[in-house]
Amino acid sequence: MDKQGLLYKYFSNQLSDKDRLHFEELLLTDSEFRAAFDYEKGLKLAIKKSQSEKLKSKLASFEKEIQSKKITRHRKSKVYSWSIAASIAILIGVSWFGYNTFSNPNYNELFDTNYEPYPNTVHLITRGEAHLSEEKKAFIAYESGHYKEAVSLFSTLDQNLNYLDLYMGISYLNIDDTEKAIELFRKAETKDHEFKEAANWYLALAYLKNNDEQRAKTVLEKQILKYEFKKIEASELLMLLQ
Amino acid sequence: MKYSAIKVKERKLHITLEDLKTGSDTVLKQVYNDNRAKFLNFARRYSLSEEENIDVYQDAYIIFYENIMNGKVEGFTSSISTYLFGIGKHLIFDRIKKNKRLLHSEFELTMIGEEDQIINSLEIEEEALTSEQELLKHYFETLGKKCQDLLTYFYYRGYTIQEIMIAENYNSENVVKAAKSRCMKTLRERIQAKDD
Repeated sequence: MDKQGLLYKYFSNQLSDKDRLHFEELLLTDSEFRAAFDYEKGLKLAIKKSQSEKLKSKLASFEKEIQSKKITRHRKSKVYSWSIAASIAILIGVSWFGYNTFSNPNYNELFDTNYEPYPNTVHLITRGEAHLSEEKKAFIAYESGHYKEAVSLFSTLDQNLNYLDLYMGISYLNIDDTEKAIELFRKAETKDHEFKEAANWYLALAYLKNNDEQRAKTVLEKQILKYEFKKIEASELLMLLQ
Repeated sequence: MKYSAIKVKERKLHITLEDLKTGSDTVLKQVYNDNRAKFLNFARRYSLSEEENIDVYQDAYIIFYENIMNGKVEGFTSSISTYLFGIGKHLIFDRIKKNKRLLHSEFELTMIGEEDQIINSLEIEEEALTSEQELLKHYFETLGKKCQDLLTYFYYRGYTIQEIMIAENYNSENVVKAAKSRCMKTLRERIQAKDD
């Protein structure tokens, strides 16, 4: 059998015992054959990796769905206990206090309830990779919550990358440089790419963090009218601010 | 094939090997959701965090799925959860070794009976790619869908040319062979072009 035929049989799991002996002998003696085998074997591993990365991101999306259902349940129960607390408050007649809290929402609390970092949708990070690009390093820092490091790594990348303003903005938001974050979200929002919807939402949160209720409201209204991302959350938040 | 695709639209009580092999996302999700709580509960016995346990669950699931796709699992001799627990235990053990954390008791990680046999029959170790293989992966992902599918059938699932012909509705084996050579050629050319 020719060498190509042997390789074919190997990869489609059809080598007979006799073939296998011949195959193994060639691997040892014929360097050209060995190179061809290594190449195809490498391709097999590469495809396997590519498949498992795809699978991992699918599983991550199932997981996200499960987690978000949990959060909704959690929120509902929060609303429920809050309504009990509110009735008690009214019953014992501290209506003045109640009036005051409702008319001056606590922006920090609203921010905390609504804020969660935007997931890394750019680079799938897998363990055990030999060579990490600067880009991957930046996302590893971002995902592990080392935002200061993430900012400095993101700064080294090509500033025209479409996702950069969003992820850098969120990193700044986490190290309390809200002004810088606002600047970046606004910049991201003016560009035409998939990250602008998210950038607008985080812009609203950043204004909230800055106690700038008026701007937060305007941006939230825009979110509800123009975008799908976090639309429901945006309208809930807007209602609380009215 | 069509019949099982219709069947899986609704929630199924018993997922078969064939259901999983179709590659349907609905089945993938159902099996993920059905076994998740059980697995996490089991994994909590060991010293990893909840986040790590979820990660291990996903890795175990991927390995299980890969072994179905490459034909290492030819029929279910145990329930799906037994496979997942067996692989999961192995992965947890690996992580604990890496983290050099102490176990509550050595006994807990000794594998017994069924699970032990499962591990022996599967392909579990995931090797890190060399830089050449990373390149192959990168340029493989730039190929058109038809090429990616064809090469995936051959190298990942171990299909013969004839099986690919049937699965992908090619007219003859020669057409498949020619297509495969073309895809391989494109791949080589793209890798070479990067150095030019």
